[in-house]
Amino acid sequence: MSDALLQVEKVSRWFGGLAALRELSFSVREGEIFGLIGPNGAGKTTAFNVISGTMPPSAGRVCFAGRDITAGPPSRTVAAGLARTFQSTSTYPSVSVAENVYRGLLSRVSGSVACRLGGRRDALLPPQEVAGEVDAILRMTELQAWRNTCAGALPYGLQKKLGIAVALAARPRMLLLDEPAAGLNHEECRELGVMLRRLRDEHGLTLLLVEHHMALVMELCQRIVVLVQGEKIAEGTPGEIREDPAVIEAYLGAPKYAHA
Amino acid sequence: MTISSTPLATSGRPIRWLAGALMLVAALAVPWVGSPFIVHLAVLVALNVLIVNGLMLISRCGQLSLGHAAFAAIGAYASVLASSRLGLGFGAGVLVGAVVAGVVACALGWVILRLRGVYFVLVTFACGELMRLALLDGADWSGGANGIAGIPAATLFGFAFDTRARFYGLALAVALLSCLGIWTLFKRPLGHAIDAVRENPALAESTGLSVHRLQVLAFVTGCILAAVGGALQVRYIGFVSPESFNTAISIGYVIMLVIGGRQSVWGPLAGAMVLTPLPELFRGAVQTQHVFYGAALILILRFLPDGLAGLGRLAWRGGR
Amino acid sequence: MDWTVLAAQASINGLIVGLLYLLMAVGFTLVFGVMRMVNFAHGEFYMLGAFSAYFMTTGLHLPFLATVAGTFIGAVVAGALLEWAVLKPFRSDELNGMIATIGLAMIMQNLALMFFGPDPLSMPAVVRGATRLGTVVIPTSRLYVVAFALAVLALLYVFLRWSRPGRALRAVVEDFDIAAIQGIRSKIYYPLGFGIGVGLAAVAGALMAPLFSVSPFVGATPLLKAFIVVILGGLGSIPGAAAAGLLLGLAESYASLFLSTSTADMLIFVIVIAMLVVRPKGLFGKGEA
Repeated sequence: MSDALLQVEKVSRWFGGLAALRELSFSVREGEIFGLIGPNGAGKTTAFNVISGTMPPSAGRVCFAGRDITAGPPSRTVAAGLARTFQSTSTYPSVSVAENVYRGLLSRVSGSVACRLGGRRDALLPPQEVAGEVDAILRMTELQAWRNTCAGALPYGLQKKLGIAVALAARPRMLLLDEPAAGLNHEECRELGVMLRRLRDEHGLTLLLVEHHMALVMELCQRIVVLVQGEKIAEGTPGEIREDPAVIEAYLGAPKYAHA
Repeated sequence: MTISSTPLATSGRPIRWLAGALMLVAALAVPWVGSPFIVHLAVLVALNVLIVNGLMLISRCGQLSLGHAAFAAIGAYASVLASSRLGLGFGAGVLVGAVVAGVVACALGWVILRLRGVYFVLVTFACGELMRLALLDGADWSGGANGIAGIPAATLFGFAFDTRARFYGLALAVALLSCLGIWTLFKRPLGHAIDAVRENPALAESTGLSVHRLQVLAFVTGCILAAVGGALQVRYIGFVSPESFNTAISIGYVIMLVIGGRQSVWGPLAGAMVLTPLPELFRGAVQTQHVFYGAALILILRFLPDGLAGLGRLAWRGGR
Repeated sequence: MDWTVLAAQASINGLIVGLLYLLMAVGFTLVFGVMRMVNFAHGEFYMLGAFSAYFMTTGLHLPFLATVAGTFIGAVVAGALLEWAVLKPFRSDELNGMIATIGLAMIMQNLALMFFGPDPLSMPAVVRGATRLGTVVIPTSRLYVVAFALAVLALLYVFLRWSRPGRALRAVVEDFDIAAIQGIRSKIYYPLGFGIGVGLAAVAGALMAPLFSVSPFVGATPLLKAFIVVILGGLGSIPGAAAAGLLLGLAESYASLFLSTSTADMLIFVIVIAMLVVRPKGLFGKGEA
């Protein structure tokens, strides 16, 4: 409980008779890069949606920085300091990269109606500093060169980066990433890993990745939770997870993953 | 100060300002230059611009209302009744109409804006019909099917807008104010937030914007604009009935918006200017003209989804 | 006042009107289910069906059965062609597709006004005389309408339940995504779904033509009723549309015994709005709001 930033307590979620999540509990410490992995149908997406406030759990609690943020709505989760990315449709395709980031920080612009309606109270931004903040976010994600490009015209890898940039525009303390490596080639994936580590090291962000790309997870994450059929079957460092017999049997299988 | 963001931002090209200024001069010159018929058309255009501006605001936030005329009816009837039953003046009457419409829109919108897409459209359609039925039924206060006739001309501080030209001045001023208001709105953070909600509501919500509250705000404001338009219109025509603002009129507003351009500040203006004169000009061949509307609607949706205003934008940017 | 007679009368009238609503609603929900499109032109197909029945009986002197069959086939073909020619670009675009059908409705109604004029035409009754059922007397022509409507419904049921294209159509309506994954050929099923959907509207118009008048304006009320029924029964549920259609017809008929028409109408809209807000899927429907 010491410096746990995100606390997931016995979260369960039922869809009709199907249990997508069974009493999932784990916590993420500040400054950690944390991974949530599991085979298809394990409940990762459901867990992600519950934690980010998009979907209410059937039972259990989600606490962030000591505040109960169970059942969102998403704008409340963001106001608490927890932002998320999307796997698909992660940007506003019809406007420029800079405008995308600008829209991401609208709820922080002090004095604007958008801010008042969104109920954001911390990390507010005076209007004069908005342009500077957009530049800062673009620099953080290395997108300055494309600032005036239409988001819909960007190559896939850059669109995903932009999605991260938009989420960062809310200046969260923690970022939930929904399969950030999906669809990226080897080089883009490597760059993603570098950027994510830099975000943690230089900007103090805590990260939770829900991911399939084993190599990225093993290399990047300090601790990992493995989900199978809605239940947590293992939790620990990448080394521990790799050796865990239950995980190997249920998920990792043959040695080819052990050398990620 | 907002960043110079989208390619759609005003580029400050002189020709745009010149064209705008010319249009303004033309609009102001109408009462002196035009025949009474032209002035009449201009009044209707101005009122339609005001009302469709409201519809555009709602559309810009991601919802399409097929019951917009019902709120014009609320503004019309409430303001007339405020004057006839409560003895209030024109100005106060319009205010009453706006407030009543705002309250109804807020209560209704809070509940129905949780729906999306076609479901929201169907609800607004049903509400429009319900309004018409209520007006038909409430003969003691609404005059029933016969409506209310002999509505006196608008007067403000003793000045009566009882000639066509004078009323045109009033209508033009209010319409221009609404255009200015909307133009300013979309330069500010709130305007960008509204666009964000329309384009990707899930993403907007996840960045801390409250989609629901923003949509309610847009809906209430849009309905108030319609109410003011309705309150003005009845003072011009002198008569109101449940058929003055029925579903066909709502559909007419939607057609103006779609043909003019749903996402552009100029859309309602373009749509109203093109579509308002036609019924009055082609009194003989009403059916041909409606066939033309229907065809134009389908063609615009198919080939020019940004409407006529989108066409204009392409021209300004030299077909970029 | 003999309440049993009144009740029986109301029941028969309610049944007839209910069958009309059912035909309109099932067709409407078929179009929505297949194409995700709210078809504002649905009432105009009803209107064209009425005109078709008028001209086939008075002009061509065809027997009623041939008239109804001919109208149905004509409407299916015309609907399929229209879908392919005009509505194809809007197949996955709910909102714009709906607006496009508004345009289509305007074109259809005004073309009808241009060709047929606004004055209502009255079609001679299909059959004269009255039949006695117990204590109730019903014009035989109304019984004919009931009989024909039931026959059409029986055929539709057989088609949807037992024929391959019919089952595929039902699959598309009931679960669009799964049907798409299984590769239902949109080239065929979109025009087919639309054609059959509007064909049912046209049949409703043809059946009702002898009972009510025929004019370019008759499509508005059936469209409204179709909306109401489909919302109550659930957009995309064929059994829901059928059940709700009959229920609405009967409810309206019984309500008219006790309430004024306007009150009954308003009550129905309030229920519709409440249904959309509380349970947008309707009583039986699928799909998200």
